[in-house]
Amino acid sequence: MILIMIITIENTCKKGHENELFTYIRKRLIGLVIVLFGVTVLSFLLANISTVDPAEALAHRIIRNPTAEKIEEIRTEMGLNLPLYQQYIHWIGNCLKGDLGMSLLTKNQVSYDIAQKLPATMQLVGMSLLWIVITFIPLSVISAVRKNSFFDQFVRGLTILGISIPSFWLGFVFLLLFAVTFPVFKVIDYGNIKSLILPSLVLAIPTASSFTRLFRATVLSNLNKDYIVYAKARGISANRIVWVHVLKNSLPPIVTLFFQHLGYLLAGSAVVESVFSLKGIGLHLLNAVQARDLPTINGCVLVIAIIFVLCSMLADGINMLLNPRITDKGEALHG
Amino acid sequence: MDKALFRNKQALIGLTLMLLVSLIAVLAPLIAPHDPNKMNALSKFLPASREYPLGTDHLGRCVLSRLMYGARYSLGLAVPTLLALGGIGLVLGTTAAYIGGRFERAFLIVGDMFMAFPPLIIVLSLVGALGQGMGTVLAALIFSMWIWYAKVIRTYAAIEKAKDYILAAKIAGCSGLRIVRHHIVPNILPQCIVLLSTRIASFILMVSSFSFLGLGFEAGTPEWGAMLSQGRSSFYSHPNLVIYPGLCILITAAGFNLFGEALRDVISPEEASQ
Amino acid sequence: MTELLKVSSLCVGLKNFPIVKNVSFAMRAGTALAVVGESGSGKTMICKSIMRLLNPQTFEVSGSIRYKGTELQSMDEKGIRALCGSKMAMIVQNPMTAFDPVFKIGAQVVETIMAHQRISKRDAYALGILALEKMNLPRCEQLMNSYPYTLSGGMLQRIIIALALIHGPEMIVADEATTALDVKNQGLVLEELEKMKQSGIGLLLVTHDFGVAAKLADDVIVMREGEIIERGSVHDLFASPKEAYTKELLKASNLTRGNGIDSTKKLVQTLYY
Repeated sequence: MILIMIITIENTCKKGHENELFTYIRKRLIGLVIVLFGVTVLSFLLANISTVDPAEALAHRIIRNPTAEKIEEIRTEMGLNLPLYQQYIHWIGNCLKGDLGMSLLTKNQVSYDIAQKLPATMQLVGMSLLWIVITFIPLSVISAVRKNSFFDQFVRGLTILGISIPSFWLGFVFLLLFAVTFPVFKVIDYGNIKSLILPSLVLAIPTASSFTRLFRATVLSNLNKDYIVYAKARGISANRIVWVHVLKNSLPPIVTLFFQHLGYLLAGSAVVESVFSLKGIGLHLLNAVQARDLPTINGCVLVIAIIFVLCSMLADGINMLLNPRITDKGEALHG
Repeated sequence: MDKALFRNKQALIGLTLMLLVSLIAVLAPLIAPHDPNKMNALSKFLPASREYPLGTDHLGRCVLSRLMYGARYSLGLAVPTLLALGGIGLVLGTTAAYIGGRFERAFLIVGDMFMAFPPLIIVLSLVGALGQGMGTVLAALIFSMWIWYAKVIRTYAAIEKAKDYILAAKIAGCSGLRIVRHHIVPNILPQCIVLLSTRIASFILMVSSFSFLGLGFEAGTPEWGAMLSQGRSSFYSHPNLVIYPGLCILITAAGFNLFGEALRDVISPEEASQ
Repeated sequence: MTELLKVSSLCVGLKNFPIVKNVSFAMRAGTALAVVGESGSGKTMICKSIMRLLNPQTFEVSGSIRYKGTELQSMDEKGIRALCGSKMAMIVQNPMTAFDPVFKIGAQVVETIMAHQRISKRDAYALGILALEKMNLPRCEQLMNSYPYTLSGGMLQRIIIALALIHGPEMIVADEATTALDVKNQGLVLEELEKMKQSGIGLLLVTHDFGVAAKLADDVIVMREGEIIERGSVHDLFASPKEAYTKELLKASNLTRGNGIDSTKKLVQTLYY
């Protein structure tokens, strides 16, 4: 699929010869392919350093008392006697077909399990992202514009607290407060938006606090730039200056960070899902680790890593749109 | 510079908290009222009293003593690991920055590959593969996080390398190794220290969340995250067993964060949020 | 000629650090007043305080700034912004950093126009193109569609001048308008300033370059460390400067090419007679 994209872009390039945008996209796509390849290799290596013999593990699951010959049979079937690089090619081939192996725990296809659990986690993460975006942008901009005011100091204090709070603890505190003491939410709930409010908040708070601090610093540094002074001299209103000019200039670095954090949110969801008993991919992975269910573990790791790389790519793309200079002078402002 | 640090209210609060927790960690065997692992089936879930200042847990162990010993685990793990990461990052980052060219580009691309795996995922994967144990968790942490530190330090080193005095040193005939060791490293050291000090808190949080999930420490260890995890089963009847450890984590992390931020404001004000 | 600007006892400073000390002067329409001095003499601060460009959290401004009789210091933010860019316009020192790098020129021209009149985006765009054409800028459509970083300093400065002229200003503050430009563009900008003066606009020229003052100004104020140390008509000042500092400045300036004061007199004579 990616190859097709590269080829179409190559063709467009030949027509729009001088278009720098496409050259940039092409370079980044090639980089993406390389990174994805590396990610799969690393994933594969991680999957194979186990001290547990996968053939043996599988054998014990499906046969009551597997004999040594049976285990050998399974081992050959699984291709474990082949050299490592051949195993990798075989494995990658399977992955591209969507076959990630069979879960030792649930006896389902790993890809099936993941497809079942991923949506719940995506909803959780999605809602967290919403909370994060709604809070950090106004909080940091107003904080920066009214530097050292009571509001600013209050926000700064709050955010330090936010980045010091253990999310699992916060989860329990919220449960205690809002499900037990003031029964607003159910303790164990599943399937509707209301059930996601508390967990997504818990997941969002540390990241939102961190972003608020960072963004405030960026906004502050942009408030004194020459073009802001000249904009005032041209008669542009303070509101427009802050919410159009300063904002657009301050967003690029935080956008990159935002999408990179998606990966961390995805990982952090494991903790939150554990506290709130949500049936997401994080909890699924945790259970798999407890049960030494290697195929599931490896499948989840690969999927999460790939999602993460794609998000980084998305971040770069959005960055490109926001700041036109990046495409032309690639290195000067990037990395 | 020191004066500025000590006048800063934030720094003082942070420093006080840090010292408090560190002292407790160091002196725990001396000041803890009881043996943290001593179980007593008859004293389950006791409320706060003179003998047990914070009560007992579900196995009759003194909560306060366990919290105090917990400080040892949190700090004892976070600080050495962070130093190791800092060391690795320093060596690799400065080397990559100094050699530059293709080596540096390869370094960055490899870095991107490693950065695709959030630390928790790596830990889960390695624990699943190699089994439980602190060693596994540490290895996983270093495996997944070295690149982050190396990248940031590389940026510092790259900026430093572009400065004129490095050029002068080269002209004067300094060898590469000498330049890196005597010129670049000492000049980026303050920024590196700031980097580490602002990351300690998140490290402590990460380690405790791993032990909360049951990875790394064996059951019964008086580590804050593990204690919280154990307290889960009796959460609705005895919430304190969950609240106290979490509060300890919060206070420790907040202390390090406050101090780290204040340190950063003083050492590299350009990066500061003020 | 009407008095456009009257500054009385203007003081600008940081918390405990005065930058502009008790400055008073006046400017009439159709004339050019040059404020001359070294860097750090406070001249840019004066410009910025007139147009309220200083951060009130950092800078303290006291004194009176009257524009055609109205006290600017007591005006609300909306009022000042309405004036800036229409009746009072500014030409900045560094055109390369004057525009927001992530928006196209066209967008910034349009927003300037729309800030001062009720007009549709399309009409504002057309007005913008007209204004640029008036400055004899080439390929205006393409200019409007470019990002600031693709244009040269000279071109950007002319766009700034075009923007300053759009709403028929009565007063223009030129803060080191030629300093960042090459000789050819300097000449072009000075030409435009001269045209403005002739059409009745009052010019406040802040500069460290006596040549600019000599070519354009009618009156001159010499500043040093935040205070006005000498003032007078341009002819008087150049012909017979009273203060030692003024003499030093003249001697050292490009105008005289370091040849001393007498050559200044000769130069002024050739300019004016």
